[in-house]
Amino acid sequence: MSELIRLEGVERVFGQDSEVHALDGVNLRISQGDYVSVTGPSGSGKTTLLNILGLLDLPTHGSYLFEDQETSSLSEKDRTALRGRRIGFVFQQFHLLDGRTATENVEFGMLYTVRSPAERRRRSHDALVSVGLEDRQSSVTSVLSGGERQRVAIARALAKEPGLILCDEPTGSLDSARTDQVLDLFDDLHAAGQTLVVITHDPRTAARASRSVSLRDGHLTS
Amino acid sequence: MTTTAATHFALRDVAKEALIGIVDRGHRAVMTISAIVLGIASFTVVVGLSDSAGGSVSDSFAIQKATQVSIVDQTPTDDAGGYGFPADSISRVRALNGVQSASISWAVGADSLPVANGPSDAATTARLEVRAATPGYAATLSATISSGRFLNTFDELNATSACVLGRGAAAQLGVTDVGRTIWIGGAPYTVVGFISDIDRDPGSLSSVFIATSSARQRFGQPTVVRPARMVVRTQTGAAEQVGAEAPLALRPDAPDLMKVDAVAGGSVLESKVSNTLATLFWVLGAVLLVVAGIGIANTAIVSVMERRYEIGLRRCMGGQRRHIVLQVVIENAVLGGLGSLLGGALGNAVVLVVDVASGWTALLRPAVTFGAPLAGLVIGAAAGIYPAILAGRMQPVDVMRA
Repeated sequence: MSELIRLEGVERVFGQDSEVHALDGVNLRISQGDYVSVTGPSGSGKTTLLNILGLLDLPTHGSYLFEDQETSSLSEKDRTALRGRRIGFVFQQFHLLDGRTATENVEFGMLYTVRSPAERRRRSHDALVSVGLEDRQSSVTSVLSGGERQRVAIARALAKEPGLILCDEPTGSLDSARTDQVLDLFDDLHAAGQTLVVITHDPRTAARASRSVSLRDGHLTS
Repeated sequence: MTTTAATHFALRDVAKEALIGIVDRGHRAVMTISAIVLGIASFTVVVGLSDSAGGSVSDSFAIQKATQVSIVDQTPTDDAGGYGFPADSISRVRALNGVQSASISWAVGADSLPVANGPSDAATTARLEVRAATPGYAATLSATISSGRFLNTFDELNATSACVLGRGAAAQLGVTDVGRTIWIGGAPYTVVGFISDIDRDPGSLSSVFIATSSARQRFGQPTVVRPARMVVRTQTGAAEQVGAEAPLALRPDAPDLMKVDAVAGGSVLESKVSNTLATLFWVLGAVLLVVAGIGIANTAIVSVMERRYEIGLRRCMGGQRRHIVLQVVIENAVLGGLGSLLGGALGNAVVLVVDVASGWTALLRPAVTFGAPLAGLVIGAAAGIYPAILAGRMQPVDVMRA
């Protein structure tokens, strides 16, 4: 499988007077179709790694290639465009627009990247079907259960047909039964060739990934 | 492989997102609209009332200009003064077509005179303007007699010691009753009436009026500094014609001595009054619009802070800074437009009600009536620029921290 992500010697340093190395010499390669979990205790640098992988932040030092493209040389505008088109996000708190329906939320994810409303509608329908919410498409998301809401968020990420789906504690707000539903869905996406990176505290969630890496004090261990 | 094709935000999507944004935050929308409603309504009211009041002032001047002629006696005088109006001046002028009434008056003496309400030193004394006036003065200058009467033909023919007090003069002397005796320049006069208002010469309300014959007999002739002046009240539109004919009718031997001075300085005064009113109201209106704009900006800033996660999410989804800025500006412009539509309607309604209640002719500027929605749109957009820039600076990473 071809390489999707390559991190080489990535450092992220915060602060000036007393520097904090959130990431220190991180090397990581992720191929297309990989399902990778990132674990580690609080403060280990998981969120910093996710921000860099999601093009929300830049490394202080080192190189980050996404689909063979060096991202640190991109302008903010190009990074935003790349993020919008190729990276889907799934958050612990879902971050849905509560006044809108499931379909509208999924379409919202393509607002800046898919020009045709009809195409957005088609993709939204397909994504909601694929996450098992075909009968909830017209429901306002505020009335959905936590598991359903997370599946809408996954559909939103999926609908833009991204190269990478980044998940930040995707089961952190769900009970056991709904956690299983979401993890089953991740298995299905992985089986379909979708690249997934899941950041989690939960060993059960991490165990479902095909590959697991761990962070401790900014250092990556396999 | 390069995948940095530009993101986009179609106008259709901008409009839709702006409307959803407004509806989703109804309470904020109401607050923002309220600010612009009040601002535009106040602006419309002050401009509308300025125009109506200015129009009313112009009408007043126009009515006087169209129905009043003033003729000044320019007869050369020696130190003792002089009087160039013939004895039958009033009847000569009244014979002219279109004349309704006429009167002659002048300020007696070189300056104000001491007027006392009693003969003794303990009496209240004030320095007042004493005006000599013919019997037609009250009718010609639209004076309102609150009690008693004005000077009449008997007083004029017999140079009686009758006097009439203007409201201000009566107040200064403390005289309220007809029949009281007052002393003008040491000479006793009996108060025969009181004037409460003089529409066409309100400045004379602080004067004491005596008959012209009495004035000439006791205080001498009019002077060059304070000459005799005839005021002629005409039918509407006849003033110009009467003004042309009156000098010859009065002094066929020397018409140049009768200088026609129709509503002296009226147009200048009218222009000054109208301009002052207009400037005052426009400045007030502009201040109100600025205040409304600041109100919108404040509400928009609060709204942007409330939406930081949504804005961060938009950035995560590929929204560029300019997309966020555009959406916030358009949301505020739409709110401004809606608010100004309501405010303009409210303001015009208030102007109409006040105009009707005041008896003014309602003057509504099309530019203000139809320009208000546009103004609101512009003010809303302008007020939204700073909050939009703040929103555009928000980082998508904020969402990850939520």
